[in-house]
Amino acid sequence: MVSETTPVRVAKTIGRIAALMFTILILVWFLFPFYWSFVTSFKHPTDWLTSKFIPFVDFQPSLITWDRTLNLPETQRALINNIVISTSTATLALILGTPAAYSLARFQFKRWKNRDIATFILSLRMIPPAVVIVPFFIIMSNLNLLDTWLGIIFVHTTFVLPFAVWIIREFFLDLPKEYEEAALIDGGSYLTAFLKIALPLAAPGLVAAWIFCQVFSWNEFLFVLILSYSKSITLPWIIASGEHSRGIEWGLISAYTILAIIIPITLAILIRKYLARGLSLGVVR
Amino acid sequence: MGSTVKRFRLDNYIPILLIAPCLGYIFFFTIFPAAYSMALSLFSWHFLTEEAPTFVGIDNFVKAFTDLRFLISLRNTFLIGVMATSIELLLGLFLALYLNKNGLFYSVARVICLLPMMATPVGISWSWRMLFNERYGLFNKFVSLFAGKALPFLSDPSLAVFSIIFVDVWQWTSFMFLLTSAAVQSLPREPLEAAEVFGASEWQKIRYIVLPMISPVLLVAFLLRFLEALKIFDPVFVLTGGGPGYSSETITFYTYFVTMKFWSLGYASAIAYIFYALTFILSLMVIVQIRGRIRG
Repeated sequence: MVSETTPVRVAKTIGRIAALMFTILILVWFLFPFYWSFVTSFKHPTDWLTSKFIPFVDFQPSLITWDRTLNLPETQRALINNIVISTSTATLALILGTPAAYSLARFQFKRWKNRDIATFILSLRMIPPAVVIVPFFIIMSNLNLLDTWLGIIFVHTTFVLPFAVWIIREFFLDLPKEYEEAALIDGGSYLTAFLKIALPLAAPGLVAAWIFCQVFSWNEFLFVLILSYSKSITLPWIIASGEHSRGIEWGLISAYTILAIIIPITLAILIRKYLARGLSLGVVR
Repeated sequence: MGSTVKRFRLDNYIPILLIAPCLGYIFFFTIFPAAYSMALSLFSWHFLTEEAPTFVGIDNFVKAFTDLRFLISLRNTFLIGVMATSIELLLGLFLALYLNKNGLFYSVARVICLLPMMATPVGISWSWRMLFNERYGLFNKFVSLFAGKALPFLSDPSLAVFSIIFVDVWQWTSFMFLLTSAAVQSLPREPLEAAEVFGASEWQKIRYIVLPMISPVLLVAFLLRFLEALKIFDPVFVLTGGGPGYSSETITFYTYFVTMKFWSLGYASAIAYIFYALTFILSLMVIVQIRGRIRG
């Protein structure tokens, strides 16, 4: 018996190590492009156009690229724009979306069924962005909102609002009605039930929804490209146009890439519990 | 709660007051622009040289179907959508099943697999553009070990579209992994344990228990991702700029180009609407799928 278990145990160990190695390969596959940008941003400009990728062995790391990137006025402008636009978009979407979501979750509308209103709002998410490129450009140019924060905030809110309503409605439906009913019986109005009872209870979900909207706006590129040319440019705009302005500067673009991805990735990890539910529009729990 | 006794009058209007700002916003910033664009598709309007649009009826639509560039972008869009989404579904499903193991290492691995999806798409596209570079790109060095030479991933008309698919797959396999993984991990244990008792193999468990149980999620994930993949713009802009020539343009890219480079706003609206019409059935399928699952 003993002579049989040893080969079995060896085979099991080999199997486990093989599984581990394969997993590491998967992780390298997913992490390498990030690593490549990271490493390139720490290269001296003379090393940019090389395939060296092991710091201290292949090349001597340098802070020159980061020093230049962070001191460029357009970097600071883009960073501020990104923060202002994504934060305002998420906040506006929640200010408009939360009451609507509550209304759909808790009251019965007579003429239109709630389900139909919710489905209608969701269906707006399915409109391809290509359809609204022209009208948004014309509207913003008529409102004198080209190259401003406000123009981009309005457009981004348009894209995240249906999503926000849909997912926040799900969160409200998860809450037990009893607390709100108790408040109503105690003589509170619908408004107090909403503001004082339901809103605090749904807070974690609201934060998750806010972050979803924030990340979308932070990463969005097409409409920033169409609506801005200098004052309201964001990091994605700078990254994408890196090639045209000064020839291809790998290090600079890499530094911008790292700068751009840190925030969405951190936020997404924070709400990873809600990711599947949010991105599947509530189908997966 | 709708049945609660009537309170003071304001309360009767609370539901409508709560939803009105949202619907107002949607009307002004979605319905109105979409309708405007639909109307504009019947006009010819060169934004920089013409004061006002001229009515041309369905000319824009007729023109689109003889416009080779439009037809190529249409073909590319659906090629990218179908291929990328299918590969992502298979890889994501595989990853979800493979990484469904206990232990800290595997739970960290599952989080790392989500990172690509969250990262700024234009940034990722640049990382890959550098890795694809024929002279210095590390990925291309790796490929040349097998192919014998570096491949012109982005400058060869027949390869460019596939390079875009490749980057899309790299980034969005994450999405499929996320949804399938969540579905796999929430499966009830009993059927799997029962199968084990009866001596079912790993493959039999996956084939006869896991897959049938998560197939509704797979369908929704596929539809959502497919619809999203058809909107592809960022990687096209960064990786190939639609080139070489216009061999790798997609619908969103071409609409952007017609709008901001040709300034033919009527024509741009028309091609966008043709595309919308083609994807409409797909969006209906998504809505029906999701609507069937909603509560309330």
